[in-house]
Amino acid sequence: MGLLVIGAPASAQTPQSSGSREGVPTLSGYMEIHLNKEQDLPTEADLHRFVLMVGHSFTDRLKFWSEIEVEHAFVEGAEESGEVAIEQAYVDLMLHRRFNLRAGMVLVPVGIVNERHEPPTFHGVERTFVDSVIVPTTWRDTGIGAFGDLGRGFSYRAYLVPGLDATGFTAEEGIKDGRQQGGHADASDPAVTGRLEYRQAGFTAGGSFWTGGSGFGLIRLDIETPTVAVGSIDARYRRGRHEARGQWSVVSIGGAGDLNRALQLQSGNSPNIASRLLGAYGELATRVSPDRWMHEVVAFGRYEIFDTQNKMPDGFLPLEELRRSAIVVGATYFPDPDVAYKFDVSREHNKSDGVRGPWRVNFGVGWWF
Amino acid sequence: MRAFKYSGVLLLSIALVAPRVADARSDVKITKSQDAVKVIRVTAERFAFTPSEIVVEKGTVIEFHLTSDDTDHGFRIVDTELNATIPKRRRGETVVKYVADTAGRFVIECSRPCGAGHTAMRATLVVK
Repeated sequence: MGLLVIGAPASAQTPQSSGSREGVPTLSGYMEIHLNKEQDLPTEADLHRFVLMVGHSFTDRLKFWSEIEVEHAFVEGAEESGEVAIEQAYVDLMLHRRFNLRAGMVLVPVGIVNERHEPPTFHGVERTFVDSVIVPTTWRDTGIGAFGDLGRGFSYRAYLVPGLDATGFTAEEGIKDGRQQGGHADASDPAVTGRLEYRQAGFTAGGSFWTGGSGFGLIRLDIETPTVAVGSIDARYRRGRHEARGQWSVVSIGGAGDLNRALQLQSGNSPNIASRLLGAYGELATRVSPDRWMHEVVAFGRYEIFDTQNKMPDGFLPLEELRRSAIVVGATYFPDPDVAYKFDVSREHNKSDGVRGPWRVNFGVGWWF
Repeated sequence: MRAFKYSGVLLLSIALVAPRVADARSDVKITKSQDAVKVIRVTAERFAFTPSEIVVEKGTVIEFHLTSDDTDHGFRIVDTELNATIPKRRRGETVVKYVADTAGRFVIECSRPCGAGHTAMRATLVVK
């Protein structure tokens, strides 16, 4: 415990914490290494993410924040290897408690993990299937918007961002490969995205949406412009040694039938894109280590549904093996709240009679500094 | 599709009216400046302080009890000398006293980088 007695502000003596003061850039980041074993596949060791965050305060009202990520350890030209990406790079102009401006590369505020994905903040070596396949994280794009604190526990953020590229949609991962990610992004069909969040002590709930077009890659085809709408609600609760979280996310793709037919004309194969994707999960976690331990061991269990063929356009049938669910159980060891040693096993199921979902065993270490 | 667009408008509309009907426990109001010390407990978690608004009378001596539910955060009242570190989860609490002897609205910000939403991690101290 620290006890500091402060007199009148002008004469107070306080310890200075390192942080985002004017003119002093800050450096922080997070990393993850994974060891993954999926049924029938080779065991894989991977430096999954190496992320550095640089921040700078021009003034108390004008701040810059950025996040650069290297995935899978290295990037080699013309080879399918890792990836270097700018995940965030924006400037905040603080105007008023209820209204502030943000411009740059922003995280789409949908779901829990997309904006809050430092490794110690979630259980499991990998991010949830719902966040990876349905949402899909890490979803970012260039944009401009506003954010603020509305009082009584409510806050919001809302942005105008480029739309998606429907030519990248797939049956297995939905809209994931349609993200433009801020590089030469076509902004002729922009989207609106936003989140309203409510916080009480130990409890956070949020509602998010993304709605916009996705047809700029199909302008030479005589079809209805595909549109995408994403809706998501989520909640987290922590009390004592217990935690719970859940999320429900739905993606609606308008014009999916015409999209499938158009892409089939181009490639010869129908991508079988659904008109609705559905994801949901519920997770419970409990700290099982004694209170007297500063180290923490947390056991968790999660059930997920990630169905990328939840509803099909007329004339198309779902691929039942993509109507998936999974049970994930595991544990996280925190020698420090910013360092997480993770273990989990999962069993995936689907609605197919002939294709069996795999089991997976994962180990990982993630840390934030 | 139209339903989702209307849902977005509805969400933003809720954002405008919700604070008026929400549970008032999220904000802490201290109205008696005659008491010796007013204890205010603030919890930090990526990326918000709870409560996010603190209202006191001028002259109130505030004793902040600061804890975190995750990493260490900073607790800085802008334009004052108060800039404290909030220890990590289950590593205790920081206790600081602050004499609110200047009226106005003061921004409280997280002064230690804590992740993707760090720059927006703010609260407000209102001294009436």
